[in-house]
Amino acid sequence: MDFLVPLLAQLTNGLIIGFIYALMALGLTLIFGVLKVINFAHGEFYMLGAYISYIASRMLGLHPIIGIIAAVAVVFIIGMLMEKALLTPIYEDKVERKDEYALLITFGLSIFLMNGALVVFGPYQKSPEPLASGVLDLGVLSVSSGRIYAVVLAIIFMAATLFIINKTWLGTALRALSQDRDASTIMGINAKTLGSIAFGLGAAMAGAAGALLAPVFLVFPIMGVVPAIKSFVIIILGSMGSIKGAIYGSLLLGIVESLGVFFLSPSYRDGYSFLLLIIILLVKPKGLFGGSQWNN
Amino acid sequence: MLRVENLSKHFGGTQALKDVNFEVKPKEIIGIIGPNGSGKSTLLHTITGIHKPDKGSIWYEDKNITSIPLEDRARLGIGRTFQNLRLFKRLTVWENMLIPAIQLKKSKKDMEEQASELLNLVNLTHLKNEQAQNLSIGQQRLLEFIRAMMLDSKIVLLDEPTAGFHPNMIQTFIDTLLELNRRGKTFVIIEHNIPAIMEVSTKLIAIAAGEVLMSGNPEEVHSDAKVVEAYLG
Repeated sequence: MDFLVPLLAQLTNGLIIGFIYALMALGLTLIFGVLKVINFAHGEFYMLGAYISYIASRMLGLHPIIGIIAAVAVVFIIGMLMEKALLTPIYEDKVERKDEYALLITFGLSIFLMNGALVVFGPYQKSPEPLASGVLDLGVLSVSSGRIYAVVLAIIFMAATLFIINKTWLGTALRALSQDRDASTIMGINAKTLGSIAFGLGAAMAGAAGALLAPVFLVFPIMGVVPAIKSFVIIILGSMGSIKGAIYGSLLLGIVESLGVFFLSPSYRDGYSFLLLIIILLVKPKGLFGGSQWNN
Repeated sequence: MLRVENLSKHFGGTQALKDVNFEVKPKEIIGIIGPNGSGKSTLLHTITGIHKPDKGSIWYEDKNITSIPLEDRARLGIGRTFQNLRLFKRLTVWENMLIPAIQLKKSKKDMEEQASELLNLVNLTHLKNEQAQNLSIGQQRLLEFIRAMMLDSKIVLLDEPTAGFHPNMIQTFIDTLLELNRRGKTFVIIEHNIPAIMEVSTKLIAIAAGEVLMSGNPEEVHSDAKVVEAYLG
């Protein structure tokens, strides 16, 4: 029975990380669902969010929560502008193979942002002000208060996004756009503007995840690479474009990682996600929610 | 109201439209007939901006709209339906109806009243909370038809609106179309259902191989030897 408490602690930790992965994966799936673009720069929006929260909390001395809100707002604007400048032009009629170009553009953007951060902030790790200090006593378990705050904020951000998608006219228009771009346009929807908003929202969710995890994993230019890869794993195992798949896939990944760390070895933490992906795809080639769509 | 001048379009070596000219006046119901592959849908795609013409121009209320984006044509008042249904199948009937509202400056209450009235007109009110994909093909066509009205379109282009209809539904469609026409709507309809198109059209245009064969009084066009030959080969 001695192993139960540490196991429970690992599972709790896995769930906490899972919720924050979910935030990031939801952003990726939102961009893919609306624009049909695989955003290779998603990890760099995560990194930008972390740096913005670092600047706000350490350099400007603002409260960490203000830093996180600033990260969401600034990354949203950067995401929108990037989409407008780099992706909108390829949706002109004269451009063929739009999806392939979009993929290459986000790949280039990823390299640009990563190296830009290296030039501006240097290669060394930085640590933003934690959301809270101390631990929260949950009976047999003690969990870092900072992590509890982070998961609560992640759930609030996800709930707000799902509310926008499911309950507002903007969300209805985004869901329509995700189903049929031409028909949406014929119905008077400005697909270019909504595409920019969707990209901004998706990027902002990655930025929020980065800002929430920054005090835990520290901030450095290539910090977005592993979370981005995990987001890709999540949206593939949850089924490309499925919101439900992104959320459940993230929680599953968080739990499997923590169980792997507990029962096998912490050295292969990042490898367990790929093992999970291979097993899921062998059993369900279309992912956990195969056939499910972006607006489900 | 709508004028098409010398409209031409080709895809590779195929001439889909060749110097097409016609004019639609307010409150007219123009029927377009022609064999499969004659260029009817291409004509609608070009008028609504999905295809860019190689030559010619499109005028709407004395404004040249040949080069303006699709969504701007929709906002000017040109609505349409598609030969292959283009509903948002995983949105509810109600959400489908309100999609155009996002771009219009009308109040939510006005839009909801308009949507309710149109759903009532085609007997779909009881299905308003169903996902569009759960409706029969005929119901989906009716939904796409009334959804086009939600843009407050002055002219609506309908591409084979009765395809897949149960015979009983054709009359519902015709009654709704004539009612909306009485209220001031103008229609251009591509249709293979000749009895239906003859019943509603004020003018008929026959197209074959991308060219206008004949246009005018529906009876005359329908019985013209050239038109009969084009249809029967």
